[in-house]
Formats: sequence, C-alpha cells, structure tokens
Amino acid sequence: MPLGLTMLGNRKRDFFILLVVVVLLMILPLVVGEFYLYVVRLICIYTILTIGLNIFMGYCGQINFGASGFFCIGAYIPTILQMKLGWHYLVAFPVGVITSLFVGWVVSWPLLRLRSHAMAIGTMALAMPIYLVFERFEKITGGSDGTVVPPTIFFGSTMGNLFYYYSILVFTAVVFLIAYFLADSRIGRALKAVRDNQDAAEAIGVDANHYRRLAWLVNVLLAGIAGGLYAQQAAYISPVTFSLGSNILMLVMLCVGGQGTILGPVVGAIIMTSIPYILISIQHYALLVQGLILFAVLRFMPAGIVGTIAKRFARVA
Amino acid sequence: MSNVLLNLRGVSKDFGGLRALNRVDLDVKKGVITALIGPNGAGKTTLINIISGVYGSSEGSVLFEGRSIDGLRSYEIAGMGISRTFQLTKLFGGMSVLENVMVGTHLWARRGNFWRTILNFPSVRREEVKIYEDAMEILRLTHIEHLAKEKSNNLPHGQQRLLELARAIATKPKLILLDEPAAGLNLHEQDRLQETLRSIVSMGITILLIEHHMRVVMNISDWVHVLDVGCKIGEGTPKDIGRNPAVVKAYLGKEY
Repeated sequence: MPLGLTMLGNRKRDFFILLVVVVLLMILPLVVGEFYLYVVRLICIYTILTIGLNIFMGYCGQINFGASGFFCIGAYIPTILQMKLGWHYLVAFPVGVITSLFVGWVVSWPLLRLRSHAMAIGTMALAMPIYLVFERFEKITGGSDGTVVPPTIFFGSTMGNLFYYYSILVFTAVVFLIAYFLADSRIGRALKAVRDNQDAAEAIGVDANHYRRLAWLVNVLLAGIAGGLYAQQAAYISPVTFSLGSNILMLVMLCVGGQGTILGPVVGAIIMTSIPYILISIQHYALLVQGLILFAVLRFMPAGIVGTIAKRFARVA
Repeated sequence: MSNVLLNLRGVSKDFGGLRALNRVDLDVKKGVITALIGPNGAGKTTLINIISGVYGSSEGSVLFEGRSIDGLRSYEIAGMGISRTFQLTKLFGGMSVLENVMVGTHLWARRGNFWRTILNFPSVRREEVKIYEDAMEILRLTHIEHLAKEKSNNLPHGQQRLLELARAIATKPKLILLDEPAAGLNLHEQDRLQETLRSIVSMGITILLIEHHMRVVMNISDWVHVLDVGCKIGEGTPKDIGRNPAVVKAYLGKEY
C-alpha cells in the first residue's frame, strides 16, 4: 500500500511511535531539569518552523527567505496586544497567527507572479525585512532593545515554564500530524508534481499557482504559530532574533534533515538546535561545528540525513 | 456533426515573423485514432501545444465538444477532458512510478481537500485506496506494473514514455494528445504500444497522435492528417494518404 510512503510505510506503527515519543516527552519534566526542558522547547519551536518550510520548499519546491518575517509577526503582535492593550494571551495568540496569515495572503499575490529564483528573491524582499518594521516603531515595540513579554495568567495564577512546555509540545505534535497527513495525500502529490515539473503538472489538471499559494500559506501559518509560542516562553523578544539569520538556520535544518521527507525537519531541528548547548564549554566553536555538519551532510548525504537513509532502505527492500 | 470531438478552424500561429501554422482546419472524430504526420518543422507539436493551452493561437479557434477552449489555461483544458504527453518526456522525477500515475487522478478524485486531508477523514482514506487500485490497473494496462515502486527518473527511456501515457490515462480524459509516443522505442515495444493504444480507444478515449514511424501510423490510425510547413496538405484514411501525390512528395517518398 502507498498509504505510508512518507515515514517507513506503516501508519499504525507510525502513530504508535509518535504516541510513545509524545508520552516520553510528557514525563520528561519529572526526570530532567529546567535547562533541558528549555532546549526541548526550542527544538519543538524550530521543528514547527522547519515543517512549514518543508511543505513550501521540500514538497512544493519553492525557496523561501521570508519565513522569519512571519515568525516575527507571530511573536510581536501578541506581545504588543498584551503589553499595550492588556489582552489575554489566549486571545492575542490567535490574533497574531491570523495577522501573519493575512500578511502572507496579501504578499502572495505579487509573489506568485514570480517563478523559481526570482521568487526566492521576492520572498527576501517582501517578508524578510518585516523585523526592521518592528525595530523602527520604538514606542510600541521597544525598538532594537527588544521588549519584555508579559507572563500568561490563568485564574489569577501566573503560568510557569511547565505550562509553556506542554502547550508547545501539543502544538508540535499536532503540526507534525498535519504535515504527515498532507505529505502523502492528493494535496501532497499535487505539491510534488509542481515541484518536479510545473508544465506537466498543469497538463494533468493541477492548478500550479493554487498549490503554490496553499503551500506558502501553510508555511506562513506555521511560522506565525511558532512565533506566538516562542515569544511567550522566552519572556523577552528583540528584532534581531527574527533577522535573516534565523531564516538561514531554518534552511540549514531542512537541508541537514532532508527536504521533502516527513522526519527531516524534526531531525534537522534536533541537531542544529542542540549543538550550541551540547558544546556549551567550547561555545566559540559551535558555529564552526554547525557549518561542518552542514558541509558534511551536503557532501556525503546530499538528500539530507533522513532522505539518504530512506533511499538506502528503499534499495534494500 | 455530433461525432466530431475536436474541431480546429483556421488556426494560425506566428512566432515573431515565422508563421508556424497557417490557417489549419482539422477535425478529430470521437472514438477513433487520428494521426498527424508531416516532415520536421511542419508545425505538429505547435498544433498540440495550442490545443493543450501551452500557448494561444494567433488566429482561428479551437472547439472541443462544440465549446471554444481559446484562451483557457492548460490546467483548465485538462479539466475539460484533454490530456497529453510530451515529445521530450516530462515526468515527476522525484516521485515513484506509482505516484506519477496517482497524481494523474487529481482531476476526478476530489475528496481530499485541505481540511478533510489534515483531519484524516475516513472518506479521504477510502478514496486513497481507490486511487491506488486505479493507478495499479493503469500500470498493468501499460505493462509497467512491476516498476511501481521505482523512482520514475531511474526508468529506461521506453518505459518513461509508457509511464507518461499511463499518467495521461489516469486523468480519465475524453481526448489524449500523444506527441511521438513511439519515438525511441524498439520494434517489440512499438507493438506493445499499438496494443495499448487500441485498448485505450476501446475504453472510449479518443486519440490524436503525432508519429514519425509510418509502420505504426499505417497500422493503427483510422484517419490521417498531413501537415507541411504549417499548412495542411491532405487528409484521409492511411491507404488514401499513401497514394496522395502531394503527401508522397512532401513527406513519404516512394516507399508507400
């Protein structure tokens, strides 16, 4: 059956593995300290970001340098709404996500008139500078010094890191499942068709622009969600977090993990996020190690870690 | 005339100063195999590209089932029931053979929209099974079912052509446009292809094909149109065409 080509072929087993992983992560706070939980939170947030990028890049074959802009909107809008208007996080968070989606939708109209590399430049021009906008309006956003994010309060008690840990975990699992279902479906096939040959895709009735827009909006939506989750757990945000550098980091995660594979974003996010913390005693070299890993993967596993392993398995089977 | 599926009226195409097609009138009858032949540069592929919406005509109009399809985008034309293959195969190289055919069902297998897919509705799963079975059936028809799990890029040329044909069938079209389906096939594969084309027609699908192998054309086509430097110079049954002096002079030579 083709119904599980994405992971290792068997949906029931995939669900079981996912369930086990989620349960293990849920009991993790009983075992390890705050520092490790912080790293897991970051990994989860970058997993959400990279999954979004994977749908647009890995499946639909378009390059995006603008995801960090929507990450930025998703982080700043709820923060501003909480700080200046006193909104509750539960309301501010969805508003941030919707704002990000709306901006993405508006931007998609000029953007989708472009193809391939011109479009990559377009994403950079239209979305990447969004963090500069937030840097400019100092009175509202705190400018380049950044701003404190007010803590979430439920029924008079302030939520701690554990609350953020669990909410991020739930979001990550749901986003992973959505990507899992999308990858091996009518929509996933249409996206891959557009990636592999746009002319041929149109010749069999796939409206290429419709699917490019869909993939873009999913990418933007997930970036917005990741932004809202990130700001709240970090308790402090500044524009530089959302500059081109963070977008490059997502791209690197995707390339290391494997474009167009369902587990690739997860593996890439785990490796690249945890390296600076593993190498904390020699942190000056962390960037160098990340670079070496990227280089080695591109040289020896051009399809990414997951992509290359999957290929090897396919040959044996 | 109700048995005419596709009808071209005075279609011309200019590329800059070059007139690739000059007022071509052409009918394709329902349920038969129609061939389009002519020397290189006669405008055959241009004609197919105009019908399938790759580009528009400079003048004239194309009617499909009596409705004009001028100016429609190629995916819209595919949606009306015209499917095609390309002279240089255009497969989805990163996908398996099976997936290439499955994506061909995109037009009619419509349960799997965004929301139903991400919520994993049972109806979507049932449709996936149906798509899978249909795709396997079509692979069997084109004799490449044993390659279902291969990556389509890794297939030899002949089988890539068959896969492209399979993908076109999967859209459940009314009309298939084939641009040199036998190019690069050996004699055995050509015979297989003829067999497959006949079974496609028996499924009620009309075929319009461009072909240079006269053996194939003479064997399977019911009606032949001949183009030369953008103009239609003749049409008829394969036998008549073989005796038409203008056609013999322009294209066939003495052999036929």
